[in-house]
Amino acid sequence: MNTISASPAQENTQNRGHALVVDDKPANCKMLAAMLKKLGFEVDIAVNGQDALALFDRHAFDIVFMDIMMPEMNGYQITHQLKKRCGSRFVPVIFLTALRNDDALARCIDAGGDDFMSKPFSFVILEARIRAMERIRQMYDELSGKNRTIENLLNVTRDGERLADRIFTRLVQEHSTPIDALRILQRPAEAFCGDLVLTARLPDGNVRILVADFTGHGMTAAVGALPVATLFRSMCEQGLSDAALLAAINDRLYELLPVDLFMAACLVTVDVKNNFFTFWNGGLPDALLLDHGVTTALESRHLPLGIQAELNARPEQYQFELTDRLLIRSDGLHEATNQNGRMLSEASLVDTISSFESGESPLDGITTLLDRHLDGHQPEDDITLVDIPLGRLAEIIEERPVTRKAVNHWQWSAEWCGEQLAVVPRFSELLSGLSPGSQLASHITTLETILTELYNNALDHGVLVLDSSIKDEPTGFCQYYEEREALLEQAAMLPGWIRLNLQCYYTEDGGELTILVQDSGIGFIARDWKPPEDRSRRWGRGIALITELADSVTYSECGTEVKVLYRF
Amino acid sequence: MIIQHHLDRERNQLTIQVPERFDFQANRAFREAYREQVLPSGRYIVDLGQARYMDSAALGMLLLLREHATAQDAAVAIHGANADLKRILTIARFEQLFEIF
Repeated sequence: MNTISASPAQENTQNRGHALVVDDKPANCKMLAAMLKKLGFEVDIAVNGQDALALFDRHAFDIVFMDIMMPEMNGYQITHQLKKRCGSRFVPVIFLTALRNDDALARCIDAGGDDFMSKPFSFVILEARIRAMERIRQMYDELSGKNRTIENLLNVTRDGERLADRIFTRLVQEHSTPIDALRILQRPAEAFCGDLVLTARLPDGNVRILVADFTGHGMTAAVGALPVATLFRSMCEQGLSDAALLAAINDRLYELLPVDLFMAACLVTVDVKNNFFTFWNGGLPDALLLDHGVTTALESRHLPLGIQAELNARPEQYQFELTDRLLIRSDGLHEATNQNGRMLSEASLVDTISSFESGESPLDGITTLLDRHLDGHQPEDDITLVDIPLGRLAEIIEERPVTRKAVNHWQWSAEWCGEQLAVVPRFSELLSGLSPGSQLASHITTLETILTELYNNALDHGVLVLDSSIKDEPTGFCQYYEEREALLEQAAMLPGWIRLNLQCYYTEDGGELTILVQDSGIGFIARDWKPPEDRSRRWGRGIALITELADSVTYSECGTEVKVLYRF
Repeated sequence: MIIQHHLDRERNQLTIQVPERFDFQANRAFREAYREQVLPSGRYIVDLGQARYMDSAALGMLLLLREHATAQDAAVAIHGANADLKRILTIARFEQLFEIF
């Protein structure tokens, strides 16, 4: 290659960076190179375009000095190519020109040049021009640094929102039983906010619906929604009362959320046999009871949940006729502002609703009203409207038992008692036996770990009532396993049991396995369990391990029941 | 259960050979393998080459060995873990406490 490589400056120890001089006349190059070295630059020289581009690809230059008139590629063309290769870096190109006409100088800038100097030039002018470029580069670097910070922050926010969204979707999927007769209108706002609708069938066949709106957005809302969904499901499964559920949710949120965060909610339980419903509204807009064209507003009479230390909820009772409906909404609906900043008026909403025959769902009409009002404008808050056909919930339940659709499916249960408890089952063999040659095969080792940990936890803490924390005593670890062994030797006398239920659904490209382990113990409080922060703590690793390996782990019944979902 | 171990005096290191299932049942035997050993500034090597399963109790046992070794200024290395076992060790962040190779 026809270049002259120059060594770093000797006169000036200050390192100002790496300069490239592109000029076909060696005398010019030498002179400029000498000046640049004196100013503290390391200098490379290229005598034509090809060399310039080759050098540019090899080194990260800080500044380029460019002659215009050269054979083959001229200075404009070379600059055009160089600038294309800079990416996000700012590499100033200064044209050196003997030309005096304005057009030629303007072309320098058009070609991507940053400045020009007329030949001949003095040392003082050269240094001044370089300092000006350095100042621009400094501003450029500061700006792109700030841009990167902003971009990173935006990504963190977006990740948080995606995560919150995912948690919400999963919560509703896992803790809510879909009820076909219900119709729900939901419009998420631009930034995820988190209106929550949970539904359940109670053991006596009644239907319970919770519509909630958190004051926080994104992750904050998701943090609150998590215990709400869990409490809702487990307390509904146990058939506990509205008042008990509201008190439990209130306690949990009060203890969990900061003062300014709370949850406005409506809770409705429909007694499908006796045609009445109980109703509690804390902080949501009026719910609307539609009875033969008459609309009654059921207003909020209570504080939202999570504000008071104790809640003594007394839900109201209402009789209904089979064609009656109840509409519950979040404040996003009437607060939905259009481009002109106008909210949706209550009058227009009531007008729309009363234009429908009794027994007919007004939801489509309201959707049309809302769409016309917003006219493509994105709402600022989540909009939720739940339409409950009070008289039709009963029909649906009788007509349609809950079944899951899956082409391929198996279910397997077992119970261990007495002496059999002491023999930890070989779960890998069990699973390969239950599901030979299926997609499950490559997950068997992981599942064996999960199942064995669950079984041992149920055995140790549920049946044998051993306390893990004794493992922290100096000789405790061995003592723990000795006690365990001693207890198991008399396993025949033990009153306890462990039950396991496995349900496996296959889809085209995978499937999911639901593991349910129950034990006869008195349980523990799952929320008191904390992952070991101290890596060298000798106990509490089992649950941490399961949590990492599985898609979800839910403790219920005070910890005597654990449900683990594993997708494959 | 017996756990094989091998003492290399010249190198001042003890290799403990873990069985196929490294779980709570191995607790006592695992401890017996190193309890009497004193290897100042030496090395304890846990060979997982034959193991294909380990549980959370095994993680606890490794921590006990580490405590024993640290008191003598000796190191503990975990050797030969297969992909499944490596995953369990990684979930527990054991690479911060042990040399794993």
